[in-house]
Amino acid sequence: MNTLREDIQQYKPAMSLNRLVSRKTLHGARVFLFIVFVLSGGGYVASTFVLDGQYAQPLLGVSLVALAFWLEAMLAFFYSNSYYFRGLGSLLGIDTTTQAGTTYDVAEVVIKNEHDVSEAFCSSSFGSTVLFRAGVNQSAIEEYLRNPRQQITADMVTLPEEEIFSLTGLGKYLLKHDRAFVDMLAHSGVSSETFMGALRWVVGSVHQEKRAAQWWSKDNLSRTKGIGREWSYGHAFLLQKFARDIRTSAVFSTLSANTPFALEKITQIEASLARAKEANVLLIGEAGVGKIDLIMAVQRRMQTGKSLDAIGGQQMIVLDTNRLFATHNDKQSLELTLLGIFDEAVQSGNIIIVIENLSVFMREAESMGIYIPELIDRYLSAPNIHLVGTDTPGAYHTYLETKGGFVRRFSEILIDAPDLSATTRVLQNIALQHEAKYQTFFTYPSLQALTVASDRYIVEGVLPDKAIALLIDVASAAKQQGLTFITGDFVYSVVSDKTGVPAGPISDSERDILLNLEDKLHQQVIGQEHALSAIARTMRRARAGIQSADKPIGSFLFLGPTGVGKTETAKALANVFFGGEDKLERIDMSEFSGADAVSKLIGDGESAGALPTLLREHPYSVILLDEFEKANQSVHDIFLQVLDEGIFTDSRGTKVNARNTIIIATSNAGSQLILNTVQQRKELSTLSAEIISSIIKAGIYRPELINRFDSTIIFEPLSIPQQTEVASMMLDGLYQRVKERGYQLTVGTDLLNALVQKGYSPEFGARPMQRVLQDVIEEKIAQKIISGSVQKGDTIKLVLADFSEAELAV
Amino acid sequence: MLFLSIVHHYLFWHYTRALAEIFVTWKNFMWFVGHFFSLRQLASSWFSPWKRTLTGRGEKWNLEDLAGYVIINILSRVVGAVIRTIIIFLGLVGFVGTFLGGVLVYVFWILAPFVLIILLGFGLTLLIA
Repeated sequence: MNTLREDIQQYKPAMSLNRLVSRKTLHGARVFLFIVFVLSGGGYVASTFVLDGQYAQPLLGVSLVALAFWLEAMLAFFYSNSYYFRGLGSLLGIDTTTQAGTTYDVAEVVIKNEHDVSEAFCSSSFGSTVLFRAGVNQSAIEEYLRNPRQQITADMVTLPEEEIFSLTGLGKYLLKHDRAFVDMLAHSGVSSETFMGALRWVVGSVHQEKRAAQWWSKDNLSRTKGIGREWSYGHAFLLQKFARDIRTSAVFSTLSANTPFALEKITQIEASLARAKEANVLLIGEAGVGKIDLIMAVQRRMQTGKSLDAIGGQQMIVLDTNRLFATHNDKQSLELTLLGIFDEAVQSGNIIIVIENLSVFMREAESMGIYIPELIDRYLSAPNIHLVGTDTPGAYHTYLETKGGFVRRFSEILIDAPDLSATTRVLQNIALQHEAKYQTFFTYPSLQALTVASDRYIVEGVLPDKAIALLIDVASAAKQQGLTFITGDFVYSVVSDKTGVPAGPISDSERDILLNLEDKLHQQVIGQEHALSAIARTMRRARAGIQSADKPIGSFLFLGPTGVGKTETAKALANVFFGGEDKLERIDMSEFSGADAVSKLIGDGESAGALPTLLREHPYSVILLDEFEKANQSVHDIFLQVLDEGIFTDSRGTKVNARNTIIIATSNAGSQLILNTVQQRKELSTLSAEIISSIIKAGIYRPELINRFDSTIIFEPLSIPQQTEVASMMLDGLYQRVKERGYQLTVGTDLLNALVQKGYSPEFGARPMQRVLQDVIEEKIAQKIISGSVQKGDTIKLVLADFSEAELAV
Repeated sequence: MLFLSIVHHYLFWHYTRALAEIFVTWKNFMWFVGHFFSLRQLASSWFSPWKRTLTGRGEKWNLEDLAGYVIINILSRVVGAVIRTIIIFLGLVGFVGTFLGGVLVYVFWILAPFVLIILLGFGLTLLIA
């Protein structure tokens, strides 16, 4: 078995040459010498025939010397290339022959210090780029190199026998054998996975550059379109008139077409198009998943002869439906144009018509009285024509599926949104493109954060589209703030600013709020220690990221009699978590008790439902489902999914995201039992299971629904001291209002106690208290102001003696 | 010393590995000529009508229609065949040219170090003389 030291020996002469004269200088020298050769050669000819050979000899001498050096430069360039590109085809999966040994890039890194491969890696430009991309700072690298550690020499690295040892292999080797290196990464907060991700990113961009530079490779030569392939097919003048450039819709990069997922889908599309008849394809996927990119990849393969033989020479034309409808204002002319387009396509024999958003096209045609399935059905079964349609799953289920036979003419291919790691790979390319534009540097953790944050916090759109949009937002924000180094934390801070949802690392002030959440909530809610403590525990788990991300931030079922602080708690949560009580959105669930409850809640195809509308307008909020028990059973069933997955499908088939909300359902169910429990002076917390079980037995909620909530919280009736606190809080509000009118107000303790006794109701909570204050105190103040017995600036002092029995008896 | 080491390594490469690499590149260019001139596709559709330019025969038998159909069909195929023949011919020329070019490259490659020395020596002699 070869060692790394033995294998890199072959590269040393070529590297020495490149150190003497860089590849760039060599290229410049070649151009310069060739120009000198041509000019002096031309001068020699001119001198011989025009100037009687006066300077012919030295000019010929210069020309020949220049030619000799040019030839030398060319040979040196070939020599350099031979080593520079070695193993590239094998690494990119283009060469099928198995190669072994190492690559020029590895040799270039290791040759810097064969006695300490880790040092060579860290001090090479490649290694330092990888470490920076991974988010390791320079001082950590310097400290690692300074400290004593076990050194790995090039002799110790044994190369695999059946594969190329690339830079990725070198990185893996360091992770496996250099403990100090792994510790250095860990101290910098970089996991092995993040380091490997950064490594693959940098290696990928190096390989892509090399791939593009090797223009003489079969891979690059095959990208040229052959001439005359379409000569045995006909023209499609009319279709060309309504054609649109396919590239205007694409979002993916060329790199992503090489992923296993994309290759699998490309193979499926090609196989469907190669069928003898009904060779039509319907790509179903959310907007932004890259449907058109896959079509482009198939087109590229057809042009370069890489596709299946049966569809070689075919050309894809995207129908510009907007122009089609804009230029036709009556049914007959549009029908004639469409028939003309399809006739031409049949006549041509090599046309694949692409229609984006097929259902939208069909609906628009329908609005003009044209029924597309009837009009084009005979073409769809013809052998010489192919139709590729794209659509979203929602539109497919609600519209196309209802067309029965029409859809059966298509092979349906489902394009899922790429998973998180595939999205990060897509972002790698996009980030490189935007770094130059925004003068920023993306770290790999920032790409991971972009992927996770866009998936978790950005409600609209699908991956990778929304991740790309977020990347651009982040780059733009970084440029505005004069920041060049984009970290994961910065990404989360941009997401927090954009959404209002606390995301990413917990700041000091937020940590303080979370740790003292019970106290914060108590500033607005009196009593309810058990309830607030349960809520606080759940919210801390959610913010720490321990809780599943595929659910709402938190979900609670608040049980208890009216007026005990359920709504107030919801307001307090909105205040603490989303920065204001205006972030509380209330749905009165008693409105969803009839037969049309479901259609009112999630829409009916024509109108959008209350819940999707609310979630689209307020995706980051506390959703208060008031009087939840009054809603229909089928409405409860919808919430099974909302609470479980944080996502549901509305009547139009569109997915609606509720993962950035705190869902609170309030209910008076079981109130009597709770009151009885308290009256019997039993410990409420020990009886909560009994209360829940009685609610289930009564058929108010099914057990599976109650289990879907993060926590079922029982609110206790208020005690007299708590009621006094509530009254004091209410009076605080009144003091403020009176002050705004130009008066001062004081209420005596004796009066307050009397009012509390009067307003106390375990059954109705604090609500009667509010009415008592209004009827007694506010009424008295109003009388005093209107009668003129108090002037602006005066203090209105109210004590029990100021009120008659009748006044107190209201 | 370094220079001599590079020259020694270079010359070894020049007469061993480089010859194999030239062969691979030569093969790539031969394939490219066939691909660029679409030789396989054009040969298989050599006498097909030019861009499917045909006329319909009409539903009822009619001598005029039939004559028109036959003439247009023949004309279309002749035009197609002529243009394809030209491209196929150019492709074959390219093919032969690339093949001969490859042979020349091999010959030149083997002689290149000597050619370089001769050019340099001759050029310098002319400059000094």
